[in-house]
Amino acid sequence: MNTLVLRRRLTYICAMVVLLVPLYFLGNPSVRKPDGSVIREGGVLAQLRTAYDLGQSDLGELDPASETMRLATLGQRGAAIAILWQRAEYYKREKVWDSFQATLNQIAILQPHFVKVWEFQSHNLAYNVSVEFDDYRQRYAWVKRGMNYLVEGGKFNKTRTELPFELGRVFGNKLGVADEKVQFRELFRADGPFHEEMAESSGIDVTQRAGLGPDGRPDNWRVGTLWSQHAYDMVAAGSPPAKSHQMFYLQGTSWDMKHAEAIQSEGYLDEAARLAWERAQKSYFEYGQRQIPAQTMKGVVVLFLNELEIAVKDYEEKETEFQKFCGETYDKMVADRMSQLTDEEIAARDKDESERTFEELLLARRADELLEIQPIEIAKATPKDIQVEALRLANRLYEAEERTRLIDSYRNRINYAYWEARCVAEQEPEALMARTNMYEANQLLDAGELDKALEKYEVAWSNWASLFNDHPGMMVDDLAEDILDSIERYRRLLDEPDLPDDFELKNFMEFRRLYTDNLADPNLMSVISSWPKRFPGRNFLEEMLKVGPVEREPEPGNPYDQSPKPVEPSGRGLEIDLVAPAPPLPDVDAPQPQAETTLPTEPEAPPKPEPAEPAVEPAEPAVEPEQPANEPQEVSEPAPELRAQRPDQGSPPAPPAPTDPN
Amino acid sequence: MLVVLAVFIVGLLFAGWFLNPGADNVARLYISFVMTSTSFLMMLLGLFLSCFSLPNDIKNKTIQTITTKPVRPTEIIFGRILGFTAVGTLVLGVMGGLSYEFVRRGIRHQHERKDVAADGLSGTTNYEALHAHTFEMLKDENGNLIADADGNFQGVTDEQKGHMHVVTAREVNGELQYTIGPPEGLLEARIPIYAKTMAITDRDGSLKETGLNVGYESTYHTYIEGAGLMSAIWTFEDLTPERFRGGDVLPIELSLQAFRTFKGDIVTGVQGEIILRNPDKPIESKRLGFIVKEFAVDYMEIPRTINGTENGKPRELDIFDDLVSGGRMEIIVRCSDSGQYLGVSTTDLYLRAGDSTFGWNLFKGYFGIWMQMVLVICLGVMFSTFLSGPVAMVATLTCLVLGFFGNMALDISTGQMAGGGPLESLIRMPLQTGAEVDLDLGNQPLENSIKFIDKWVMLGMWSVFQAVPSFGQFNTSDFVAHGYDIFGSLVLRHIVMTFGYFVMTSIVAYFFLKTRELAAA
Repeated sequence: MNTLVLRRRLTYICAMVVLLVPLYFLGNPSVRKPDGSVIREGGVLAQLRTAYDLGQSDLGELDPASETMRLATLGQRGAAIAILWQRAEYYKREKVWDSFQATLNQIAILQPHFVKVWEFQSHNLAYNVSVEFDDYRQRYAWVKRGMNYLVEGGKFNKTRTELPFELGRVFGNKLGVADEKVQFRELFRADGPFHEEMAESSGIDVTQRAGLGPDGRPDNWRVGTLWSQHAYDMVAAGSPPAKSHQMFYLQGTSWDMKHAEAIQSEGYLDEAARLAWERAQKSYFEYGQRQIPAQTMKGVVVLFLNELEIAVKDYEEKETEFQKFCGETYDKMVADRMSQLTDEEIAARDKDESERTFEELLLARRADELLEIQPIEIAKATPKDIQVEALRLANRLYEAEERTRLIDSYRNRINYAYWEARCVAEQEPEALMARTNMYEANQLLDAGELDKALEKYEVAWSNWASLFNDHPGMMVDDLAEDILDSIERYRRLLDEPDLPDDFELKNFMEFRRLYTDNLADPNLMSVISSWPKRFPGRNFLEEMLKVGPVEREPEPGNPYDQSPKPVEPSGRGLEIDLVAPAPPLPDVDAPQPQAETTLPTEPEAPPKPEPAEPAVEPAEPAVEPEQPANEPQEVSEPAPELRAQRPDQGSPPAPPAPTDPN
Repeated sequence: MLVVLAVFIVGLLFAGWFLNPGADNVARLYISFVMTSTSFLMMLLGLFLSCFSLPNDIKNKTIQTITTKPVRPTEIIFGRILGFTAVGTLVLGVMGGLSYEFVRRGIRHQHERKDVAADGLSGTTNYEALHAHTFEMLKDENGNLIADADGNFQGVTDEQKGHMHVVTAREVNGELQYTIGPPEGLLEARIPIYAKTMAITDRDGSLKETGLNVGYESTYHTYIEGAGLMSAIWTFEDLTPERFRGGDVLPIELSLQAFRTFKGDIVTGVQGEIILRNPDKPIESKRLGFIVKEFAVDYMEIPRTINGTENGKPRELDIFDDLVSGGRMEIIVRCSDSGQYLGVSTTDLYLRAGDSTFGWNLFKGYFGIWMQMVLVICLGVMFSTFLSGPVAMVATLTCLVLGFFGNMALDISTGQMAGGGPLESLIRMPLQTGAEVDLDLGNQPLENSIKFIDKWVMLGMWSVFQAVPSFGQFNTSDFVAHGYDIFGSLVLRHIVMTFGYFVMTSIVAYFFLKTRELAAA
C-alpha cells in the first residue's frame, strides 16, 4: 500500500476519532427530574433536545448510551444480545453478581423498548439473585436493584403499564410476603435514601400520605398500591392494562387488605387497623364498580362484580315473567315428562343420594336428564299466537342467566364475597377487641405476667367466639393459625393436657380440625362468607357441627387425593349465587415465576366464555328427609321447578387451605 | 499508535455512561473494564504494527536498501520486534496511567456526617455514591476513645460496597467535628497464602475429596453439612512468623457460601467455626465462631496466643510454636447450624501475609498485557517474513483466536466435549441428532470411518493448539480487580513463555528471511 494513501487513511481515522471527543461533550445527556424539569442541562445536543421537546419519543426516553451501543454493534444487535444473554446466564451460574448486573444493563441498553426483558430480568434480580444471599440486608439490596431496574425500564416505555404494575407487585409481594417480610418491611420503612431515589427517578413520592403506614413512614403495601394506581392512571390515559382487567385492578385493592393484615400482625390493633380495613373496604367497593369486560359467545360484555344481587333479581323477574307467560305449557310438559319415567326411576330419584345404589344412581341421573326442560323448548311448545313473545322472553331469560353466571364466575375466581365480608368483619369492635386482647395476652405472657395474661386470654376467647359466630368467614384465613398458636400458649399456661370443657373456642377448634383435614362439608364451606348476611342471628358453628363432617374416603387408586368430591347442586337455583366459594386469599400475588429461566406469566388466563346451560327442572316438591329445619337450603335436593342451573353446578369449589404464595 | 490511543481515550470517556456506579464493588468493575479494553487494543496494535511492516518494505523494495548494508537477518527481525515493542510499550504506559486515574476518579467519593448518637460515639454518613455508612468511634481495652498524635479521636465506618472509611473526630469549642476519610479497601493487593490441599471429612468423619452437592449447576463449591462430623480441612505449608510480619496475629480471610435447607434464624445468618490444628500432634485451638459473609471477604485476626487443648487438656497455645509443625498447620471449618450447609473451595480460605501496593499490582497486570502484545508482535513478524501483509494478519489473528478459545478447541480435540469431531458434527447437524446421543447411521463401517477421520483431524487440531500461545492466561486483570497480588511465580511463568515464543518465532523468522531472495522481491 502506498505510504501516502496509508497516511491519508490514518489521518481520516484519526480525525474521526478526534471528532468523537467533542461529540462526547456535545451529546452529554441532560439530567432531568421525572416531571421533566432539568437538573443538569448536558451538552449542546441535549439542550437542543430540551428546547425542541425532542427528549421523549413515543415509546419513552431516548438514551444516548443506548443509541451509541446499538450503533456500535453495526447492525449485529441481535447477535450481540444473544451473546450477552449467554454471558448473563454464565455469570448467574457462577454467581458473579456485579458482572451479571452489568450484563443485564447492557442487554437493556441494546433493547430498551422490549418490555419483557425489563420484566424478566427485574424478576431475576429481585427474586432469584436476592435469595442467593444469606444476609437479609443483602437480599433487600438486590430486591431494590430489581425495582430500580423496573423504574429504569419505565422511563424507556412510558406508555406500558406492565412495568409500574410489576413494580407494585414487587413492592407488595416481595417485601411483604417473603420469609424475611418482617425485616424487609422495616428496612424499607427506614430506607430514606431509597425513598428519595425512587422519587427522583420515577416521580412517585413514597412519602406522600397515601404511601404511609400507621407509623408515618412508607409502607411497602401502600407503596405497592401507589404503583398499581400509577398503572391504573396510565390505563385511564389510554394505555392497555398489563393483565386481564379483573386481575389488573385487583392488585391495588388486595394490597390495601394485605396492608391491614400486615399492620395487625405488627401490633397496630386499634383505630389504625380499623381505618386500614375501612380503606380496604372502600377500595374493594370501588373495585367492584370497575368495568370488567368478559368474553361470551355473543361477544364482549361488561360486568360489575358488585352487581350480582341486581343481576339475580333481574333474572328472577324475567323468570317469573316467563313462567307466568307460558305456565300452562310448562306444567303440561313437566307432566308429560314425568309420565315417561318408570316407577324405578321415580323411586331412585326420590331417594337420598347417599343411599342410592349404583344402579339407582344411573336411574336417577336418567330421570333428571329427562326432566330438564330448556326455556327455549317451553317457548317453542307455546301456542303459535304467543310463541314469538315466548321466544323473546326465553332469550331474555338466557341473557339474564348468562350475565348472572358470568358475574358469579368472576367473583368466585377471587373469592369476592369472602373478602367483602372480611373487610366488614375486621372493622367490628369484637374483632378489634379480640385481636387486641390476644396480642396483649401474648405480650404479657412473654413478660411473665401470667395471671394478667390468663385474664386477657379469656376475654380474647370470648371476643373471638362472638366474632366467629357473627362472621364465620374469619375462621379460614391466616389469622386462625395465629389464634391456634395462642390457644396452645394458653393451654401451656394452664398447665393442663387438655383445654377445659367449657372452653369457648372448642367449636372453632373442631371446625379447624375438619377444615385442615379437608373434611368439612364443601356445601357448608361455601356458605361461610355469606352466613351473617343471609342468616342473621344463627350460630354457624353449632349448626355445622350438629350436622357433622362429611367423612370421605380417598378415591381408590389415589390415596393422596383428599380433594372433596363434586356434589350435586342445590335446589336453590340462583339464590345460591349469592354464596361465595371457599375463601382462600386472593390469588393476585400467586403468579410468581419461580423458575429462573421462565418469563413472568399471567396469573390467570383471560376470561373464557363458559357455555350457558340453563335447565328447566320439573316442578315437584323437594324431598328433604331428615333435614334440620334451620339447615341452609344449599344442601337440599334440587327442587324440580323452572330454574336455571346454578353456574357452578356439579362442582362447587373445594376449600383450599390459604397458602403463602411466596 | 495514535489511533489506538485515541480509541482508548474515547472509550474511557464513554465508559462512564455504561458502567454501573451502583455496583457492589465499583473498583472491580472499572478495573476489569480498563484492563480488558487495554488488552484488546494493545493486541490489535501489535497485530497491525507487526504484520504489514516487513511485507511493505519488501514490496516497496526498501528492504533492498537495508540488505545492502551490513545488517544480519537476525538484526532485521530483532529490530522489528524490539522496535514495535518499544512503540507498544510507550502506548501501554500512557494507557496504564490513564487507566489508573480513571479507576481512582471512579471510586473517589466523600461522605459527610449525617446523624450522630447522643453520646457522639456512633452515627451515620450521608448518602453518597449510592450508599451510606454507619460509623463507630474506636475504644481501647479500658473503654477510652482512641486518639491519634494530634488528639483527634479515631473511628471507622461499616463496610459498604467493598470499602470503609476512617472517621476522625476533632473537638472544636466543646463539640466534636467529624471528618470522613477517603474510601479504603477498594484498591488492594492482598498477598494470600493458599492451602496446599483441602480435604473434606464425611458425615462419619472419614476423609474424602469432595463434600456434598446441594444442586447447583456450578460445582466450584462443595458443601459440608452443619452440626455433624462434616468439616473442611485446609492444610498450609511453610508457615513462619516472618511471613506474617512477626506473627503477632494470624490474619485469615474467608469467602464461604451458605446454603439453607430451611429458613432458620434469618437475622443471624448461618454460623460456622474455625479450629486451628497441629497436623502431627493432638493439639488444637478453641473453636472460633463466625457468621458467613457471602460474596465478600471476611477478615479475621487470630492472636498468636490462643486458648486450646493438648491431648484434650486445656492450655494456652502459641500458634507458631504449638500448632505449626514443620511449617504445616491445618485449619478446620465446620458449620454450626443443624440442617444448614457451608460451601467451600480450596481458595475460599487463605492466610493473608500482608499487602502489596495496588499500583505495583496494576503494573504487573499491565506487564501481562505487555507480554500478550509482545507475543502478537513476535507472531506477526514471523508470519510477515514469508506471507504478505494481509495474509500475515489473518494468520496472526487465527493464532489469537485459537489462543483465546484454545481450551474449548482442546476439549473438542480430546473428545471431552460431546458430539464428536468436525465430520461427525457436520453429519449430526442436518440429522438434528443431539450431542449426547450416540451417532447411529445404521451403518457401522461408515460410522467407524467417520470417527477414524475425526480422530486424525482432532489430532492435527490438538497439535496446532498446543503450539499456539494461550493468550488468555496472560490476562491477570481478575487478580487486580479482585484485589489479589499477582504472585511472582505466575509472572515468571509468563516471562518464560514469552521469552520461549520470542526465541522460537525469531528462529523461524530468521530461517524464512535467510532463505528468501529479498533482492528478487
